[in-house]
Amino acid sequence: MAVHGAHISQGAPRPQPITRPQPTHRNTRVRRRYHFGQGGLLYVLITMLVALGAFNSQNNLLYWTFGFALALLLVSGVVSGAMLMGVRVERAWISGAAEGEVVRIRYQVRNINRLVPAFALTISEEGFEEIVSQRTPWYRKLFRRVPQVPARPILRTPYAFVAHVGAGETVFAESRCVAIHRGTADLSGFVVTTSFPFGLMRKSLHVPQHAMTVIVPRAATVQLDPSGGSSRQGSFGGSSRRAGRGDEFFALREYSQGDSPRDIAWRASAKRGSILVRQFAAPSPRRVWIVLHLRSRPGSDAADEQAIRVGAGLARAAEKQGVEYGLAVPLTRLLVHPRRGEGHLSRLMGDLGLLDLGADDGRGSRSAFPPQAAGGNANTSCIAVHAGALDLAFAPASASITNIVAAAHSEAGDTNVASTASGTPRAQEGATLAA
Amino acid sequence: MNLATRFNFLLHMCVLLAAMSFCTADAKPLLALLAVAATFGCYLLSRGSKSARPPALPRAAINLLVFAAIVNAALRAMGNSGNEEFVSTLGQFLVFIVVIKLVDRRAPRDDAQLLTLTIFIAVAAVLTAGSLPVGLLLIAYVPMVVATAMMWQIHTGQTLLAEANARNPDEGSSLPMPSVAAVGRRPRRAFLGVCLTSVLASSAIATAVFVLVPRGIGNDLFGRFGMTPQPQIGFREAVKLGESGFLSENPTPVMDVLVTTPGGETLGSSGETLYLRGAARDEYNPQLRVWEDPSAGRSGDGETLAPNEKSELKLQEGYEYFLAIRGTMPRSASRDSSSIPQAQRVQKITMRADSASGTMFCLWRPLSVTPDRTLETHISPRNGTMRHTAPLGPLLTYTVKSALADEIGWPPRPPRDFQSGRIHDFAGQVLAQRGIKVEPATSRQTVTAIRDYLRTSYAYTLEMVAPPEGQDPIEFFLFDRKKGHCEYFASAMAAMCQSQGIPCRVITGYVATEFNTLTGQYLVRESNAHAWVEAFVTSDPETGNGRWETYDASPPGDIERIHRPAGGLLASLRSWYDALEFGWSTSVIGYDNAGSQRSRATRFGPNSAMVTRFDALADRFATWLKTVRSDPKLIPWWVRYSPVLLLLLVGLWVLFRGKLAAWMGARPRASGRASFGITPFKPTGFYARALKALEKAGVPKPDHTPPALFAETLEAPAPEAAALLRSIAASFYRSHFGGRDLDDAELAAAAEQVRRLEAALGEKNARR
Repeated sequence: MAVHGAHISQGAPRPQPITRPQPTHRNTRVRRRYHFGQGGLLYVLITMLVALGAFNSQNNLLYWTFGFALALLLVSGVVSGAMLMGVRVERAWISGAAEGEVVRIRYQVRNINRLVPAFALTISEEGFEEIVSQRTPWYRKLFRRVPQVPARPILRTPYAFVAHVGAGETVFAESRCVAIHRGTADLSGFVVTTSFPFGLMRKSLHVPQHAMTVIVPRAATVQLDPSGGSSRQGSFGGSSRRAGRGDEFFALREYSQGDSPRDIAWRASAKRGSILVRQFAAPSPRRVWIVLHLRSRPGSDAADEQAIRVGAGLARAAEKQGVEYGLAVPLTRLLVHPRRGEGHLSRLMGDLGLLDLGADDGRGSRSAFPPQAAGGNANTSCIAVHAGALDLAFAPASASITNIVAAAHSEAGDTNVASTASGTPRAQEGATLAA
Repeated sequence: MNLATRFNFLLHMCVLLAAMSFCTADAKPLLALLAVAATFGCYLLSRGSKSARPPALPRAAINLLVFAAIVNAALRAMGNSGNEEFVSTLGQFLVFIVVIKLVDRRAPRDDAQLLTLTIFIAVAAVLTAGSLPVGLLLIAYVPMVVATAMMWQIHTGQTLLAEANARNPDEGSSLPMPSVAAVGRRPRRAFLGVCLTSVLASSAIATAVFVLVPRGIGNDLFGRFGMTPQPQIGFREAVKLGESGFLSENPTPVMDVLVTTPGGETLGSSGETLYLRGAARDEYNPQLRVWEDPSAGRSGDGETLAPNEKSELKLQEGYEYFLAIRGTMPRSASRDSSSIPQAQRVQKITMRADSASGTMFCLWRPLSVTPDRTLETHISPRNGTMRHTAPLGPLLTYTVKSALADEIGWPPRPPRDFQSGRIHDFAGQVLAQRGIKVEPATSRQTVTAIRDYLRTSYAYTLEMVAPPEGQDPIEFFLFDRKKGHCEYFASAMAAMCQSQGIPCRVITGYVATEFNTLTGQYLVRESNAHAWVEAFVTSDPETGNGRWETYDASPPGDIERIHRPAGGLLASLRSWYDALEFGWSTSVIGYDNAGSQRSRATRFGPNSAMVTRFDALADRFATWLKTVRSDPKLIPWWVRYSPVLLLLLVGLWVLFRGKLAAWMGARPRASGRASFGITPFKPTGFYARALKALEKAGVPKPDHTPPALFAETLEAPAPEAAALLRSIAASFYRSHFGGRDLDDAELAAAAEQVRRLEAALGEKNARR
């Protein structure tokens, strides 16, 4: 039993987004804030100059201009105040995604105001850099307030815009942002901002609605080549002694309602005097442990990430091949027992996404190979993914590394995939993997 | 038409209207043409563009154009002297920049800059002129700029969204992706509603501010800052002969004249011509070839004024000043009513433009005058002409009461000019031919004969021809050219009358022929400038007393042709326009010219302590400011260096703002509630009622205990209340954590349980 012909490439995989239900916190206190920006200051300055000119010259047109400038300030405050007072915004939905894919956040915007429509609402998540036009002049950069942005943002700045919500209406706005890294995108709250109608003052609603999504690692494309297998059952084939729908005879049993007439063992039934049916041995799925050997040396962060991507790719490939797969990360003591199915894949990808490797100090070099992943029967093999150079000591106690099956070269660092023996001669035999 | 195209259209309209308003105000037709062409061109170019922006010129070309505009403005500024020129230069510079900016629109920020520039241009237009066309253009501009500013917010948001989406491509997603911003139903209608409401509300507030803000506060504190240059007319008091060229036919309105009887009945019609006197000249200077007024600028004429008479007078606004024949005296002074002729005409004159000499016009010698503002005037007792001596604000309005003739009574000084010479002889010949012997008794006949002779024997022309070197212009007119304009006719008649010993003076002013039935007023244009004569006609040969009468020697047919307004549809439209312009000038430009005192007095009471205190404060401030302006050394050092200090502060802030923010952010917030980032939960609805009931019953739920757990503690003492509280807690949990609001039935059930809980707790209390 072996995994034959593993091929790793760095092409962009397209995993389906993993959507998780978002916790909704009600009764959160919405904060309203008013920001007087450069535009407003300039406007006030002009208004003051006009007023000065009007009073000095007694020019009636200037008086009217001054009055109109004042009125616009007032109207601006009233319109935007009434507008924002009636706006209720909730983060309705957030998609999961893999690294490099787009996370989509959907907001539900309700305008409970009966008269005043809302215009030009910008929704941005807190803790991200402000979205500004691509052509930002130097002086604006000078005066722009730098937000508290995390050192390693998970997402690129999300930005949604609502052009109009009529009185009493509800609309949905979406923002999309590229997931930069795997991990937890923890969204503490979002800000609804508008400077409508005249841009004199920026008003914002800070909605502290917590939400979280997991950015799973981008799965490297791993093709498991079934042609190189030497077992009797094909690449991942094997037999088991349990009842199933295989071809191998397992046992006889009493007929029960619903059994297929084709399974009736007529001769045995005749001898026994009661109807017996044949049972067949089900083909037992082969199991593979994916063991990630991370933080094996200091400064291996990029290689670790690459190894995680390879691990994700192996899991996906195994799922595709019908192999049960488990995951072990000795560094974090993560152990996911082998299973199959989309749910299992989703859980495993989530776990890979949430892996917290801690400081990049090489403490993983002391990690021992997890005994649970060492196999112990003929159906189980394991694949160790080494971040960086191959660590020959990282292997099950009863076996040694049989081969380097693949090496992924990337700017981020080398990743070596090694097949280790599962402890049985058959497994060792078949553990010839070709890169 | 999508949002971008609509915004683009509005923006171009704003540019067009702002540029047109400034060019109209500053009378710059070529600049207007450039602005219109550039705006239309850019608009047409932008229509073909996907982003609704015209293709931007290369940065180097833009910089070059801006540099050229700066150089042009700098050169103009170096040659300028006053505030008006500065505003004009600045306005032109802004128009140039706007035109350049039209081809440099790359991002929403550029659109905002363009819009801001148009606002500056509009303000420059306001500072330049307040005429009706400028006003109309600005009225059209205001809603346009409001709508554009609003639309900019939406347009910018959409542009940023498109940019953000471009940075976050989502290829291969199976879910539909919104390419545009979320929009509700009928956005255009909603936008129009908000826009219209904003414009109307702002206009209403602006009008209220305009009406309520008292005028006069801070007047002239900062020199000419903010002052609109007053339109000036080409009227001149001096009658200068011997110039060549053509007389101007400028149709610019000069004044509006409302003529009524003392009883208030409006007088005037299209066929009736009024002569509005401006200046009177009775001495001819042959060297300078001008008619002069020897008493002008002097306080009195020794021959006609009593010792206490004076001609310099400060008229307070709103007060009627009675001007006695022998001088001027305020209303409060005692006067001999028998010496004052009865006023027969009341003229309310609104000067739309001022003359350089400050001449004030009226029908006849003013018997009383009521200005709409405080005026420093020179009123000549000798010939009854007025002029103000200090610069005025817009639209001087004054009311003059006068008789139908200058009933001066006593004989004036006999003329001294033309007592010999060619004109004297010529006049004698003319009169002799008509058999008129010049005597005081026949002075009217004499004057009439001379006038008729000139009217019939000489031709009227607007062309002015200079006489040959060394020849007197009047003689050139009388004996050689035999044609000329009104000043030649008036001069010739005055000369001929004076040569015969009849006191006669040349009057310059306007003829009012254009009666507007819509306003009931005469509209006087600059082209209505005229010259005629006033001759002293003796009514009592023994005493020599008489009165001054008006005689116009110019051929009446020609005067009619030149000054009478044309008829037809255009004339009708023009009269409508004039009426509108008059309304604009008086209601907007000239609103509350009387100044602040009346307004404040009306509002707060004339003797209000607040008004007095405010006046004292304002006066002190004005005095200090003027002192400081005259001697800059008196300015405190920190005021003098305040720009430097300000710059320093800004620089420090820019440099250290990060540290400041970090320092401020590191400090614990004042509010203990927010310091841990936990927002306390505030119960509402049925749950709050339940908690209140528990509290009222003396068993308040501790904050840290969940309601279901607390219900267990109630189990022993009040099992019914405990059961109800459990049920209420379940409803509360459902609403609080269930991810949905309770429906009406559930809410009603919860309310019923609360009611029952209140009852159960009440019974328990009662039992206790």
